[in-house]
Amino acid sequence: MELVFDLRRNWLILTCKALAWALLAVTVFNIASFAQSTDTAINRSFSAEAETNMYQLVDRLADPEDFYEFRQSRTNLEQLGAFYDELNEADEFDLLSVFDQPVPVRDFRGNETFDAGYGTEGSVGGPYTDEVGRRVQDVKAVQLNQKAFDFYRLAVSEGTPPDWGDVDYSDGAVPVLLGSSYAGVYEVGDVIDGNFYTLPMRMQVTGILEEEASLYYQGEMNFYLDHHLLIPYPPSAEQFAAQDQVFYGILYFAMVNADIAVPRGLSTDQVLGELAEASDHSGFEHYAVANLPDYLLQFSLVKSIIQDNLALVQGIGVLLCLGVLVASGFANAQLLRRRQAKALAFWRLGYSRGAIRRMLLLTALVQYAAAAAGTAVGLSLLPQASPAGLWSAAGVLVLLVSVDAAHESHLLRRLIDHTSGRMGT
Amino acid sequence: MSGRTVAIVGGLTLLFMLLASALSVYNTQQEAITLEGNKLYSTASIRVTGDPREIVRKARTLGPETRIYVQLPGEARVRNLLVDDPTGLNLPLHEGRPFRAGEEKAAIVGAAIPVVDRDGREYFEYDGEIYEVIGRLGAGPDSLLAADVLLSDPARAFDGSGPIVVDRVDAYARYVENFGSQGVARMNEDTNRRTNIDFVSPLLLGLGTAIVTAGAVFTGMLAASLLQRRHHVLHLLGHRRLPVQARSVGQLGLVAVMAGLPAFAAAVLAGDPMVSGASVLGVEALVASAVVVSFLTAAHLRRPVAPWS
Repeated sequence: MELVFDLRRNWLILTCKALAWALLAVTVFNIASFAQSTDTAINRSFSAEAETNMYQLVDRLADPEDFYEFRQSRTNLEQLGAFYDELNEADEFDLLSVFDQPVPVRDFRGNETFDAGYGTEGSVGGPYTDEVGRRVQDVKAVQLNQKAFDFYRLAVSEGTPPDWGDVDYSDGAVPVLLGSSYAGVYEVGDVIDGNFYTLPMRMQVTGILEEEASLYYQGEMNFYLDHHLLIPYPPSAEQFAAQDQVFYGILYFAMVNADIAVPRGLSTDQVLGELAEASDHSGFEHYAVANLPDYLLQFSLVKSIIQDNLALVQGIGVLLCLGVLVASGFANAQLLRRRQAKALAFWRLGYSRGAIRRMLLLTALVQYAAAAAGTAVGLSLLPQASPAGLWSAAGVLVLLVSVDAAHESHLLRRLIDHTSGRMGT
Repeated sequence: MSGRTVAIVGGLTLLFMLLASALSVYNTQQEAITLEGNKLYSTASIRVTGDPREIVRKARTLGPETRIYVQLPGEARVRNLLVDDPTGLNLPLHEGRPFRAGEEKAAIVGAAIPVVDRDGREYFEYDGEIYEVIGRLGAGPDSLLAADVLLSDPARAFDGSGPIVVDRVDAYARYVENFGSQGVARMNEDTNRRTNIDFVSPLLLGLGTAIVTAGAVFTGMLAASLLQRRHHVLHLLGHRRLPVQARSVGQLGLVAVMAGLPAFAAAVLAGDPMVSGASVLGVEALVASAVVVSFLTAAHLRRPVAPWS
């Protein structure tokens, strides 16, 4: 009965307390889910292994005529291929070969956001009729080797990554991955009828990339692949049929224009030495190399932006926690003031301290339950699932309950001590 | 008001004003981090290709807060920012101040940009013209914006090369609705995409605001209950209710002013270009008015104390 009297008298304070606690618990859940998401992002794109020096390897056949001349000789192309293979197989560093040649796709099912021109300096080209009379559309595509795929920790959310060892363009078929925005447009197992550097290609979709998959490309850390079609490069640049010389000539040059991720212990001279050695072995010497300090700079700055956000969010979380704790303390003092007469009456009637405390804590229990229920309702309204978040929300409620129960008991004890001292008992 | 009442109400008001100020600073900082991670564009920004004159003219009709970024020709990353009302834009700055409405021939530059010193003022030179440097871009000297320049120069509104970025709330929907989707693309190079911050941050602000609002309302009601007997006794002694309540509201206001001082002083003393004393005063005024309104409401709704009880 005392419980009902107490609730009727103090419902406002108790409701406010329960509400603030529930709001705080939901806030903490959110912060924890964000911390988890930050952790995932850092592990994916900003791990210690990715913190490397970056170099850029380019060919020196910038003049179209030289470029054309060079590609007329099969020997030249074989040398180029051998040069690529030696660098690709090097253990000292990773040759990250990435290129964004758009691919014409026949009867493309996607909307304009996949178009090669969408969001670029150019404009959306839309579907057009190619030389042989088919309706095609140029779509955003990225070609890359396995080293790049692994270095940037790309992974599929559906299907499987391509079997890199089996990639072979000579039979006109290639496994491809699709960016996450392709989900619902094409499915794993679909065959896309495309054309890659003039070579008709049946592109078998083996997987869909995780959301927000990204890599460092042409000076941009935030190069996202959600709207791209990913074509794996073959494991080596060795063999090609005579009739495909035009295709392989272009392909090998695309492959050799790559970034080189070099562990920070390796000096520039050592990198240049490795390249010179590969050049000697293969006979290909039309290359140039440049340092890309921008990579490490962007790496650390983009990483720090993510971490600054986390620090900021955690900071405001701590402040809100403290605020709610202090406000609860004020509320407790006010509650006890309103219960003072009753508590002292029971005390004078001979009730033990424990009995009075239990009586008051009973209302507190109702408030704790209300806070927990409020939290449950709040969490059920949120879309994201986060086990760590649930633990944190539960943790903060347990913290609030224990601090609050201790504080209320302390206030009560002080009141009774004070009174009994004054009464001389 | 007794000293006890002042302590309780003042303490709680102080607490919630501090929290509200912290939330406002959080909001500014978070927006600045977002802009820094996305070349100064918000996540709602769009890229429009086509005739620059046409696009700028169209985008300007979308409202005074619409930001239009025009990439100016040249090697450097020099952009011209056209915005009629820049108050809602929390540019990441580590020195100086943001653009003011209607300000011309001014520049905000990154730390790596060379500037000319003349008579104690710094200037940035572009294409034969000089612009006074009023601020430094980026949260610190080392920043993704260290090599960026932002000009405010309406005279170069149509000098753009390449796509023009139009940035405002709902930019895509607003632009496409008015002018069609020709050449319009959503942008997606923001760092925030890597985490769920764009979902968490507004929620955090909402929950924090709810906590502060609930706290301020509670404080007002508490003040009403603490002053209830006093009001009633004064009424019984022949004072009219309204003047008594008005006097209490005046006292509450005084308490609120005192409670607001620490956060305001902290904001002014911080000297951070991102934290303005005025915005802290603004949120403090909101908290104070929530306290007073809930006090008045509670004081009116409360049943008067039954005589002789």
